[in-house]
Amino acid sequence: MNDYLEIKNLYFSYNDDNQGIKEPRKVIDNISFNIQKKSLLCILGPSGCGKTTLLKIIASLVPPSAGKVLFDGKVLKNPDAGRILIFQDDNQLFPWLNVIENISMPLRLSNINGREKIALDIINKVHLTGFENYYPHRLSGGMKKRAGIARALATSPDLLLMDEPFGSLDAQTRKKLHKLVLEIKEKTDLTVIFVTHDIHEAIFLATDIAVMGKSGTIAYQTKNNFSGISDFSVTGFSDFYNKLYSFIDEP
Amino acid sequence: MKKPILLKFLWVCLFIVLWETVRLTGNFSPLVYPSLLSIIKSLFHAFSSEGIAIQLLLSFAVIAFGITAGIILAMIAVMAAHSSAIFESFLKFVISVFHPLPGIALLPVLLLWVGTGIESILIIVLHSVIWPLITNLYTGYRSIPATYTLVADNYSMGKKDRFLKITLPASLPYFLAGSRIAFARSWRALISAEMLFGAAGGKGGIGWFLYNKRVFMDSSGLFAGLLVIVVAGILTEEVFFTILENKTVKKWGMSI
Repeated sequence: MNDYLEIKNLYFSYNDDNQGIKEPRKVIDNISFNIQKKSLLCILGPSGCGKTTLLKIIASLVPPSAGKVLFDGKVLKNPDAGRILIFQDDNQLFPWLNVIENISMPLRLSNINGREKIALDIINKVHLTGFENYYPHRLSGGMKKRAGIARALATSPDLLLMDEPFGSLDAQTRKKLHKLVLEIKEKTDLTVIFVTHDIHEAIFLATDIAVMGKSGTIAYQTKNNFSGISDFSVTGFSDFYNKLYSFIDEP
Repeated sequence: MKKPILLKFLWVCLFIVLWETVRLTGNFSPLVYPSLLSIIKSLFHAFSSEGIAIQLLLSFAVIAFGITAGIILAMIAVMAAHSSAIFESFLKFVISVFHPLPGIALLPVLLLWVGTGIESILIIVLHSVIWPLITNLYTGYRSIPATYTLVADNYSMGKKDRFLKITLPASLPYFLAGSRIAFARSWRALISAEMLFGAAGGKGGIGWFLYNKRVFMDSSGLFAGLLVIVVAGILTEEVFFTILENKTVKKWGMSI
């Protein structure tokens, strides 16, 4: 199978002049990896290691200092409207639009016909039927995430970049949303990069796992053989968990 | 909702009782402290024969013009400040100089430069509304969450879409707060200015109506005019803006 997304020798640094620091601060230091279509890559790593910056570079929202990102064989220079989307933990729903209006918004921007039907289908997919006319402030945290995911799916993106999407939710709601992500992946051709701090979350969701080190490099990358498991006592799980943990916790 | 309305009605009744009690003590001359009945009679007379409704409409027209012009200018200024650091610095300086200056304090200068008439009043109203509008709009503009910008970037929104679909609704709570302050300031400034020389000739607005009542020592008419000013102010601030907020920012769960 061909590589769908190729990251080649990526570097990113910036000048923090406001803080009086003259030396450029290196955030990403020579990262290379490939992922295939329909896969779900979880990126683990400590805070401040450059995970969010990496996603922004992949989405072409920030240009890299060096290196390139090839998406479907092409170098992306500008955000490709609706094909690559970032979904963050912060509430991205617009409070002045109700659920169906929020989901239809990208469809309206792209002048897609049959917006209401598409939006209603997606609402059904994320199990929010009955809440179409609710404004975001009337939804629970989990429902807001569902609506956010629905909006992200509205334009049928090819690559969804999820930046610690469920970080602020309780364990129960997170579990439900993990199942929803897997359900959506199963039914669509979506490729996902999922950034998280949570090793259990990564192991449950990922087809592939990469660990970013504090120095902005990929410290470890592996296939995940434990995807979707809920029984953590299976043979090899604890060794796998500890190995991932050791790379995150590197001094 | 019903309880606050009942309470407000109770306060009005209490005020009426207090007014009449003080009058009945006989310590004040009816010339300076008219009865409630004579005030109400004057009020009816003002509406039926003296054209107070037209004076009031004229005052509101001046405010509406001032606020509309203020909103347009404030939006242009805020957008310019957002795209140019030099203009932002200039705007901050201008705000720091003019914002604390009461509109009425400009009157002597305006009398010299523009003369008496509608132009001076419009400038005073514009001065009263523009600084709070700019300050609030600018704060609203700057406080738009980064995630909304990320969404706009994600969908490659153009400048027009960003402004209409994100910037305007996202800064609406600040805009409404600014408009409330702008109305309160302009309403006060307008009445004061009208009391000095009227808005335009014989039709001088509600302030001019008050001035005439004082000149002719018609104290019940004076209080009737005050009542109209109070009710018009309350209706605008408490009813118009409250309905507007309930239909928008409160319905959307947005607050500042």
